[in-house]
Amino acid sequence: MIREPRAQHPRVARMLSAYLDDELAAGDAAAVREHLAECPECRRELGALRATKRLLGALPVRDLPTGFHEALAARIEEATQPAWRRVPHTLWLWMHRPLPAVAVAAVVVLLLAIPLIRGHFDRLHAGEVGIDLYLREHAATAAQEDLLPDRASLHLLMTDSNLVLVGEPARRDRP
Amino acid sequence: MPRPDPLERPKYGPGELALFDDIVRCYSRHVYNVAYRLTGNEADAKDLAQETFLRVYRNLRKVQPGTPLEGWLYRIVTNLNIDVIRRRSRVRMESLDAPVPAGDEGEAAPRAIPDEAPGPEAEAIAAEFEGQVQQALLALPEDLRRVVVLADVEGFSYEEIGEMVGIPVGTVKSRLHRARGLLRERLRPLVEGRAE
Repeated sequence: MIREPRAQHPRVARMLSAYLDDELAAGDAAAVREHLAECPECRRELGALRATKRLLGALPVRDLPTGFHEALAARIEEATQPAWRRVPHTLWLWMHRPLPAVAVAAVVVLLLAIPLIRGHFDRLHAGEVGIDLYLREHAATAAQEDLLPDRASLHLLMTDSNLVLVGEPARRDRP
Repeated sequence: MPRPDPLERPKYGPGELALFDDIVRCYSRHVYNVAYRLTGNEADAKDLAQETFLRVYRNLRKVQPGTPLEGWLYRIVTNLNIDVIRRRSRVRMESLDAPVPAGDEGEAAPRAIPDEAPGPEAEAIAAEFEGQVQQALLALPEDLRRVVVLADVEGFSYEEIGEMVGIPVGTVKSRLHRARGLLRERLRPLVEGRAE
């Protein structure tokens, strides 16, 4: 059967690239050859595709950048380190040299703790003085007014900013 | 049998390390070249090529000495490039419909590669040609670019490309046809000067 060149044109045009690469089945390649003999448009297209392929093939092979192999060796060395060697330096110090790390940590803890401990003792001392003064002041008042004979058995609870008598409602509960 | 420590680095013997050195020596330039054509710049190409050989190093015991490794290496490098493109938003994919800037005579004038140092006239012409073709390659969608690089820069068959990329031969054929068509349009002045 004789095929019309125009009818074959779209199908052949899609096969031109594979024809150029010799990647068509024998029957398809024969059909393309037959069409090319009669179709100048497809011949031009094939020539343009061939020129494009040659342009890419003419690209120079790039040289390796200087130091490629050394950088690769360093990258492999780093990437294949055991996981624990890749932890941050501080953590690595803990794991690799515990004694110096513990000593450093102890100094840091002491430096942080001393002001806290000192503050705690200061507050205790101030509390003792406060209670003492409070009891003396109220004992003197009670002796003068004699309203509460059992004042000596008063129990006191104290916070830094509040002083509450036992049995007395908390201030926040007062109307 | 003692279980291997998962944190322990692979301990290769001298023979295995020699095999790795052979692989790097034999393939590094080609792997780098493919990486360069896919990425278009030295820094990314170097990174891609080194990452490829790092993968090889980690899987060295799977390598049978004497077997051709091109397919495996190019599969790694092209897949890694996809990862890089996805990870780096700074890699700009140019629209294929975007007009190419016109030259003095109204003809298509692709941009020159900025990092090419000026040299003798012949080198400058070669560099300009390379820059134009490279820019046209970078303007292709990634799936078309890797097929055309493997076919026309590296010279692999459709079947080999299909295995490397993981697509049927028919898809290789259609992608390559589309890629060449787009390149032909973008490189029209160069192509017309060389068409028979």
